[in-house]
Amino acid sequence: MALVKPYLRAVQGNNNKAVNEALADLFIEEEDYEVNILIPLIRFNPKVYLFRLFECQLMLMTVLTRSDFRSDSKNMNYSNSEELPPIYTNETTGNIIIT
Amino acid sequence: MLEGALGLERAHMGMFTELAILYSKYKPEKMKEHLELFWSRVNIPKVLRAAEVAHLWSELVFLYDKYEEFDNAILTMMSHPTAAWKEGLFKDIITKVANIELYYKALQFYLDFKPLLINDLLNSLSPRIDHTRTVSFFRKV
Repeated sequence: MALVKPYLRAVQGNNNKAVNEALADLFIEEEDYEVNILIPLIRFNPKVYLFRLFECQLMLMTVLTRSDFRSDSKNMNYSNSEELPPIYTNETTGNIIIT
Repeated sequence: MLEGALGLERAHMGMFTELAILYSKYKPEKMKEHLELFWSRVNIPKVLRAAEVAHLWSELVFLYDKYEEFDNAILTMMSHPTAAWKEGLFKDIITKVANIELYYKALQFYLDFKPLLINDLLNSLSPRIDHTRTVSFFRKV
């Protein structure tokens, strides 16, 4: 889909749902949060798009957190990344919990 | 004799046609120039058949274009891209085809053959193409 991003941008003005969703997916994947595209979609289907954005942020935070642990793994007695602690989220608050 | 007779004031259509057929069989390198000069004076269906038999794909596309058989011109270019595909011509003809399915076959062809030019093709097709189907097509790729 990334290959045809210029086409998607060119026909964005047609306000086609499939095109807007494809662009939104691309922006989320690339972490390029295009407000003009995302806001109408979030309004249209908030559950899906807010969840996707949250999921994307969570993945980013997971990577960053693990990367921090990896660099400190010696101090924390973790010999490789597979032994790193799992990451959970609190269902009520949404906060990230690292055990 | 036929070549010499082309300049005659009342040269018959059959002479241009038969000369084109002879070129397709014995001097294929002269066929293109002959068609470019005299395509309006040949019997196009007869020469089309000769070009197809002789595997002169570029000439075949040229004749299909002049005969307004745009679907066949596109199909020939996609079947024999090395000999027959030309970017400008393809983009020009694809907008004139009757069968809309060819738009999507052309997208697949570009993905396989010239992926970096696919946005140019899409820009040419964008006024006619179904965007929902196009997005669905690229999601499946």
